[in-house]
Amino acid sequence: MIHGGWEFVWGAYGLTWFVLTSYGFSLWQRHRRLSKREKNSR
Amino acid sequence: MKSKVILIFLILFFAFAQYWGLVRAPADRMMGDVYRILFVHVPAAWNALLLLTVSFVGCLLYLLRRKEFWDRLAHSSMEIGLVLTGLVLPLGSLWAKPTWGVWWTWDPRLTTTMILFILYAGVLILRQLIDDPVRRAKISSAVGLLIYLNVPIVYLSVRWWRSLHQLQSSPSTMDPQMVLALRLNAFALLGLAVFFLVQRMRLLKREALIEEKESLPPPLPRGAQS
Amino acid sequence: MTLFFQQTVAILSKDFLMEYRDRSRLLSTLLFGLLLLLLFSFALSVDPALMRKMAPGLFWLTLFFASTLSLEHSFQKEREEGRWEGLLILGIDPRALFLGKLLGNLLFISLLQLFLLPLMAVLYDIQLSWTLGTVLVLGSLGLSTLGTFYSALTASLREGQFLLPLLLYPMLVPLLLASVKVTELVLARDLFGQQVAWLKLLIVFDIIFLLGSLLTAEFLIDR
Repeated sequence: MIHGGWEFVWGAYGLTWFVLTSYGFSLWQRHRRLSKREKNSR
Repeated sequence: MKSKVILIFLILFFAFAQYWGLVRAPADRMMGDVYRILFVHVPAAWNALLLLTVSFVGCLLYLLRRKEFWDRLAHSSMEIGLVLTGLVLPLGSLWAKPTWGVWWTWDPRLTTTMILFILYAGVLILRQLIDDPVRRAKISSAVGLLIYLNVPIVYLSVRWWRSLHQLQSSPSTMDPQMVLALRLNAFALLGLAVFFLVQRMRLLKREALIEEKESLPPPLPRGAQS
Repeated sequence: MTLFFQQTVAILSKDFLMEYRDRSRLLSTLLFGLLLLLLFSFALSVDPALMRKMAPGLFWLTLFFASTLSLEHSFQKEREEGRWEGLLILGIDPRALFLGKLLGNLLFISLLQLFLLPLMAVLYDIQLSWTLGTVLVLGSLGLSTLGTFYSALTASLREGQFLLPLLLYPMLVPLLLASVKVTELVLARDLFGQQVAWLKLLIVFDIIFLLGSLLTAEFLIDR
């Protein structure tokens, strides 16, 4: 049985949260940029 | 507003599923606590494969029906599938190091995933280089089809090349708590992925509308006709 | 159907004539292949036993890199001065155009192989055999199918020729693995077992991608 190794587990969960949050954030930013462009094009 | 409520619910569900995987599920007899990485790794791999399959369907239906909707579906699911594939690879390394002692092996599934990542990243780069939306949709759908056909061939050839592979652990050999945690995590991530997919498709639709509007000539002032 | 083949042959013979009259593309590709063979042996080793062992892999890598140089240019003439649109206005079947280009590239790559093989045999001290021929034909068919597909694609972009290797090479991974493996087995005179599975994989690969790219070629070529 492997003992310990929690640092790998935390690393994995942290990475998952980081990647998903950054992708969500990038979507939100693209949404804001589009809204700005929509205003300008009118 | 509605989407914000849904997002908060999805994040809470995701956190709950992870809590279940980290705390409620018992430690594995062989792997100890390290195996908990699988609760994020395996759902990410499943969902990545699912999204890339959706993008294949989108490509196929676009070429058959020529409706922009299918191209938006193909593009969005490809992008999110790529993000998840990019997540699966380092998660796999984090799993491999404590259990096998190395960060990387030339295992068929690992190698195929890596090649998959490069292939789909190439299509997304290609999309940026074509301006005309119809040509962009046609070309990237054709490439998307070929790439997806290539996946099983890559897998098979790498497997024969290495001539070794491990068996997948089936749910029957696992503790029921572990199975539950795995399923919870898979559905939680699926929920988030679908949310992203819907948002991404909305963005693409808005972008197409704006581009269409901008490409039209500015309206003539009144009284300027003829 | 006969019109289709007439068009294919017309494209093929047009390209053949053009390459024959201006041989710079062929000559530079052949020299680049020779150069690569030299560079590989400089970079890796001068140990003859080791070189003989690595020869199959190096041969296919050389072939991939050198043929990319020529594949990049296989639609070059059509890109200029609206010739592409001209061909389509003349009513050519996009698939015939694709197939003609494919056959041209196949011819080109076969010539490259005929040039590289004897050099390889001399430089890396390997023995040639006729069984090797089958592998070479199957491998170069796959290479020229996908190569033509992606060069048609990148040629239709205003910029972005640099994308060709990025898109093409990952698709060629199974082809590379199968070709190198069979070449190794043939050179090691291992005539039973494994070799057949790899040959089958090569054939499946060729058929799938030939059909797949013929079916989707019109989306790339039509404008």
